[in-house]
Amino acid sequence: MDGDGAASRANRGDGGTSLGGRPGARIIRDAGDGALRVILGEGLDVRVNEAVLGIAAAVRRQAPAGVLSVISGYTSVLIEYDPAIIGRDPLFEWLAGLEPEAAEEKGRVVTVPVSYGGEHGPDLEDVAARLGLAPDEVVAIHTHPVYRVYATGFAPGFPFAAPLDDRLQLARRDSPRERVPAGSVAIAGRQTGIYPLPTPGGWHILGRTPLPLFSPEAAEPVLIRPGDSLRFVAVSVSQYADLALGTDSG
Amino acid sequence: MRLQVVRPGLLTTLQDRGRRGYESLGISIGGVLDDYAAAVANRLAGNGPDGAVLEMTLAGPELEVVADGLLGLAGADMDARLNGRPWSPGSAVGVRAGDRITFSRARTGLRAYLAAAGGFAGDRWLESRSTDLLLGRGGINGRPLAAGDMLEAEGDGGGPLYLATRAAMAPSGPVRLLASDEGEDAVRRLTMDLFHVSPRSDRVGLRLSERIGADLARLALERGAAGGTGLSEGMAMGSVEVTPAGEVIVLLKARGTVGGYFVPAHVIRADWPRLAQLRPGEAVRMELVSRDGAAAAARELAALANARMAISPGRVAASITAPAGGGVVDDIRIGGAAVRAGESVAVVRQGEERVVVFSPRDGTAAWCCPAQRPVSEGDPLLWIADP
Repeated sequence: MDGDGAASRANRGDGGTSLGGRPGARIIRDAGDGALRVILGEGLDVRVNEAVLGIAAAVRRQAPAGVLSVISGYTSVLIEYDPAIIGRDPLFEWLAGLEPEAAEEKGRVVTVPVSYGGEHGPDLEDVAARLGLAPDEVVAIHTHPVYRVYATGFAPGFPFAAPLDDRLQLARRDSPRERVPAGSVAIAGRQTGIYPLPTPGGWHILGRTPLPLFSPEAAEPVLIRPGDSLRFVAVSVSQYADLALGTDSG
Repeated sequence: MRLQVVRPGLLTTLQDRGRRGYESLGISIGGVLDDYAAAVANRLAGNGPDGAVLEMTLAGPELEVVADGLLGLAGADMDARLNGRPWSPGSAVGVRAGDRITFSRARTGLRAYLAAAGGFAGDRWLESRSTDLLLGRGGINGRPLAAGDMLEAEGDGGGPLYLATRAAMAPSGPVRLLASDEGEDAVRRLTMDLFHVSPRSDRVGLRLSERIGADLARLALERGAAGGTGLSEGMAMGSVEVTPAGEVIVLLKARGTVGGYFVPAHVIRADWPRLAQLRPGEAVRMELVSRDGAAAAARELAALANARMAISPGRVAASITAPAGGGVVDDIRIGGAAVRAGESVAVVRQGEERVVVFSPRDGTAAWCCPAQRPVSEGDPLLWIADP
């Protein structure tokens, strides 16, 4: 199993950037008496996040008895355990020496059609004005890069994607909205994300996608996973409507 | 076993031990908030720990028995009654079609757990029967119980039948904390002050009504996850979050999987049941413990959970066994009921013939064999504990 992991790791896109094989590069901290956090670096860093997903995959695949949950974030993996089944010290030692494995699935590039501005993107004008840009420029900058999904959370399937271009960086809204519509594409700080279902939210909404990010009854309920990449493509309101019809009937 | 919901109670949901394996995709783990009480209820009903149970909040439901079975009850004391007679949390009862089970407002604690032999059936979503109220999935159509719902058990348990206990709920007391690496200043403040449970608390988090000072709130801003960069990281059950506005929230089972607030401390596992039983408005005192202290508390709670399951012979004043075999038990006195010497406490029915069983002494029915269960001569029917 270890051999397989190493081989697939070497085959992943950013070859040679993984922390694999250097267990000294990680810090392990207790999060109470039922969880350990493995910290693999700091900040918004592709290599750190790849190591995070590699460790999360290894814990999940090897799943020692007593491990209850595995949550990956930007820079750390949180592992909850039942100390009556697995002791804290043996788990700590095991995690300290654990080799990252390739993620369960290779990261995919997901193309996200977005209807920017207007009813679908109520903050686009305001964001543009605050940044000293034209709305079209905001759209051009937002659709330009391919973003990495560092983590999924807040709501089922909400992708935390980054890095957002420096020219688009704004703090969160002063007062969060009580209800953000599903599919809203939004920005905050160095991140961009998509609300999978109607929830409260404090990010600036630039547009909306008809892509269903969360389909509870599907075999794979969540569309976008950590390690995937996102590419936003601007579509018109009528294209949005066509696509929305298509996803409904599909 | 089948139950019909007459009144649903304030917030009654079906829960098991939670939905695991999807937490990295942002799907909450959920599950029973009070692991201790849910496990006790399951064991009383002869189930393993994975049986789905009803979690009742503050005011419980009224249920009508449609088909016979065995029920275990633990957690908060909601003045449960079977056909009007008191039924103590921490005991099992056999119930028969036509019986009526009522719960009132909790007198102590907040959440009570009802288990049925075999575990309650419910919608399985992503391998769990736990109700996710935010997503409207799992349990009974993804929502709290409603009048008219029919609840069915999936089998008849099959585990060894246990009895009754004095420890239907984990002992109350201060909420004990382990400080995180950067949390010491904040923990000192948290353990100095008396806090109260905010009515805005729910299965996601226990919110405290009082805010902590601006100095600590500033610290919270600087020391949010990943050094205040606002990056989201996985959040553990029992994490004590401090927001930049100075709010204190203890994260519970239905929490969001990731977060970015400052977490100066974590509530020890042995006190998670305490968190589940704190009532809105109730005072909360927090206390710092060492890792050894946390381990000792975990051992104590585990011992309590096991000890209660084997009533020591000294406490059982009388064990009543079936005087005749080949019949079924009927008209049996329920656990928790007071009995007097010479009083009829059970009937063994063999066809047309009825063998009446009398109590040899005054006391409390500690456990009873479920009604309609076939018995052989000498099988235990009822234990009488000292009054």
